[in-house]
Amino acid sequence: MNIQEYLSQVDGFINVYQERQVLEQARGDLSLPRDFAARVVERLHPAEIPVIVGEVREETRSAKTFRLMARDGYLPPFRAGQYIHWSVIVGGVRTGRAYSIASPPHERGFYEVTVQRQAGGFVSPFLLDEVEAGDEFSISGPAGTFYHEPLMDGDELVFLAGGSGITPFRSLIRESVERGLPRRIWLLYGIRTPEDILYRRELSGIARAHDDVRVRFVCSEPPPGYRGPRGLIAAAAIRRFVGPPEGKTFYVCGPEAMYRFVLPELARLSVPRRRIHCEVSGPPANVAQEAGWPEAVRSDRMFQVSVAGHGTIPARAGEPLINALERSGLAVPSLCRSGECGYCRMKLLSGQVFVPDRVAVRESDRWFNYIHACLTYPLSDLELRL
Amino acid sequence: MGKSCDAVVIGAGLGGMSAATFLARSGKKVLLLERHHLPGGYASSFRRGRFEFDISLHVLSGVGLPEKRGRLYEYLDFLGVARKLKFLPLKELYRVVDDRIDITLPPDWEGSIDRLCGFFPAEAEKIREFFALMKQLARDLSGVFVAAGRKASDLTPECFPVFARYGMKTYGEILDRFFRDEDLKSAVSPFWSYLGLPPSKIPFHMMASCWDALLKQHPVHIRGRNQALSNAFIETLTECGGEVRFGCGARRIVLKDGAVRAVITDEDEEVATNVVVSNASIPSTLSDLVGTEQVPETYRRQVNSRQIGFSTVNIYAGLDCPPEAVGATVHENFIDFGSRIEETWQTAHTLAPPRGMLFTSYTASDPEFSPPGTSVIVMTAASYARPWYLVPPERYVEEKTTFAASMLDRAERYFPGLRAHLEVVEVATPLTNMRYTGNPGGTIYGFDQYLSDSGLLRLQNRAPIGGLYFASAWTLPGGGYQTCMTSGFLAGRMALKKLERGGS
Repeated sequence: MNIQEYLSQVDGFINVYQERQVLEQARGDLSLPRDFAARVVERLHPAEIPVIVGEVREETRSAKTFRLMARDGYLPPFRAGQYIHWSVIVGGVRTGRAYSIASPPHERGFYEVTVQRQAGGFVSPFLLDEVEAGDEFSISGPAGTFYHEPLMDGDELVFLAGGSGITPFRSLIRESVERGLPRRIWLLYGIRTPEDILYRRELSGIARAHDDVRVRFVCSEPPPGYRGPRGLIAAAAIRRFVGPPEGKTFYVCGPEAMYRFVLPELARLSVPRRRIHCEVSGPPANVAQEAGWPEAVRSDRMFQVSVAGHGTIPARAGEPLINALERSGLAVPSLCRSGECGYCRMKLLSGQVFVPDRVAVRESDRWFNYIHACLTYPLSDLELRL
Repeated sequence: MGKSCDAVVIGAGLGGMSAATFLARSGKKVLLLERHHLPGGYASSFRRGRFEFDISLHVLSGVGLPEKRGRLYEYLDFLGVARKLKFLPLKELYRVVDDRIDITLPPDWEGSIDRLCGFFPAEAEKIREFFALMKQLARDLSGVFVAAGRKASDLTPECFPVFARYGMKTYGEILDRFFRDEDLKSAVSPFWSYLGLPPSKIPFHMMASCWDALLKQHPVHIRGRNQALSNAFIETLTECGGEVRFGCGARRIVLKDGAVRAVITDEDEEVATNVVVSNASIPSTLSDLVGTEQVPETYRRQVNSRQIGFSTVNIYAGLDCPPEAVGATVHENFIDFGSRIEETWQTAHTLAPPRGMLFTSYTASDPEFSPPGTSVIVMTAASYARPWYLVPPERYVEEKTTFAASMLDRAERYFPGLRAHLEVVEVATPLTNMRYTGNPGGTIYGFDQYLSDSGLLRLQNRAPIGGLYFASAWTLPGGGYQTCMTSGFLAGRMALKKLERGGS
């Protein structure tokens, strides 16, 4: 007998087979479940959101807040502390930068991001000097993991901000007070001069109105006669401000130099690692100062990078590879531009590169020579496969 | 002139990578398209803080130890993938624990049988009989597959007598027939979660194959996590001249006269080919890529008459203590997942706190899995996508947090101190699965594997469209790591035959 005949002899097969035939009588529309499902995901995690710049507010002499509104009216919800990637074309180069959402999640009509002018920056001068209300762009959906995690973080939160690293904390603080969340918050905001303080009046106002929120600005380069707290966010200053660290969760967001200073200070206070959350911070201002950078390679040295199927491009040792790739017109997906998200993962076929320790490359990606181009620097001529 | 290929493979999940690598290894010109920036589908990993999490691999069957290798190892070795990997033997098969039992089984047939007989001496004889039966049934089942594959015409019911008698029964039916002690039934039921349906519904032959696969050769895990496997596939594929494109899926499969002629990529490039192997789900391949109207009515009905299978809620946890500090010394733990399974499965259709879950302690089996003094734990509950669809986006984080908190509470009962050691925690729901794999319902095993969708009644690799093949959990033999790679091999072999036959 053949297989069908054999199966018909199997105890119970006929019944199951009949069941199958009955099921197949049912009419259904193949496309339905899939379409429905795709839209559910799309509403939470759209790959791209077309936005229009609503209002532009000047915050300080070197920073502006942009209100971004969805062109089709829908922005996905986000968790206070998350960021978006803002895609731009600057001087013909398609690139983008990640900015924390500075507005709170319950304000649903727009996202606000605050852009601080970066010395020698490429994108921030463009945004600050050229973008106006009415301009249209595309942003990513909200991303990142720098948020309050109710499964482990507790209700006593210490926010340590440096410079423009204040932006996610504005969202977190406003969410907490405006939604009446049962949280106690201490914000220590390290800044160069009093004029550089972002959201100064707003934050002071919140602190005055809410006993649960305490705010302190600490200036590192105060002008003569300045009477407020000065210096850096050191262990003693943290301890004085927040009291005993036990049971509190610490969130740190600022430039790379801030982590190098603050993390040892928190260790000095015996804050356990699980109680410290750090936001990622973009490429360092000077990569040659990073631990492990080979002294023999000057950061202005140029190398040739050959990209499989796309020719050869020049790249500077001291600049993230992704910049060189973008300048040559290649489309490289990116999101965090801080080595974390892995969107710009690509294969290094040959050559030497420098990758700072903090870059979140998977273990097996190291074995098979994959890199995250946003925080990888050429140390020789390279061959890549996108 | 545009680009052309012998075969385009859509999706770099296990089925897709397996089919693509097989075809490239056989000398064919292959293009593998993957929408995500990473290969693997569920077989991938992600980083959080100082931890790297394995998204889905609990236990790998079919590989075994150097002294006794399995079929999967032989296949991976043939491809050239195996030599790029290091496999780690697991010390135990599993631990099943609830408020009545706490039993850990060793990773071999005799050891497991002895252990169970020790716990349930009154039913020792039945236990031995039961396990012997499963071994025979697993052997018969592969015999049936082979016979079907070679279109045998010389069969008699006596060829596969155990299948003839037990092949169309559910696991629950057989358990009730063999055993009286409910605790014994609990002890031998946890694998239901590797297959996706409770004992009252899951085919006995599938459970038997599962036991057989995990005990025939020593169960292992992979050094470097499941991502190492996916990276090794891609490495091998490109060594064989295959091309892979990340961040670029397929937009359309172009047909002419009912047969595949080309694929249009997300970048709007038309790639001429006569063969497409789709690792995307069968329903979405047909509705989104082929177009429902191009699919024969009978086949549409065959597809529509199956249930989108179950999905998961996963908590990925990095702990700032070694696994033994919370008692997580066994790799695979089933917490309240062997008893009252019917109820657990019913609950999985709601957002109510899950009754039980898997608790996998990766660092316990691989000390290099996480930094010294830390551990990685993944907790997995069964959950269907439907109730998640109904959660408004604004309430999503709250719902998943509530769900996850109830899982942590339950885990805490058996692993006290767990919550106090959390350093990193990430929660993934059926919607997360859907987001990253594109699987309808975020399902992990394709269609639910009812009797009427198992064995030879499951959809096969060949579509009723010339040159279109499926390689995934959605086809025969079903969900799981070894099975998906097998599906890729079967699809690849059919595609190769077609290519070697030549013709249009």
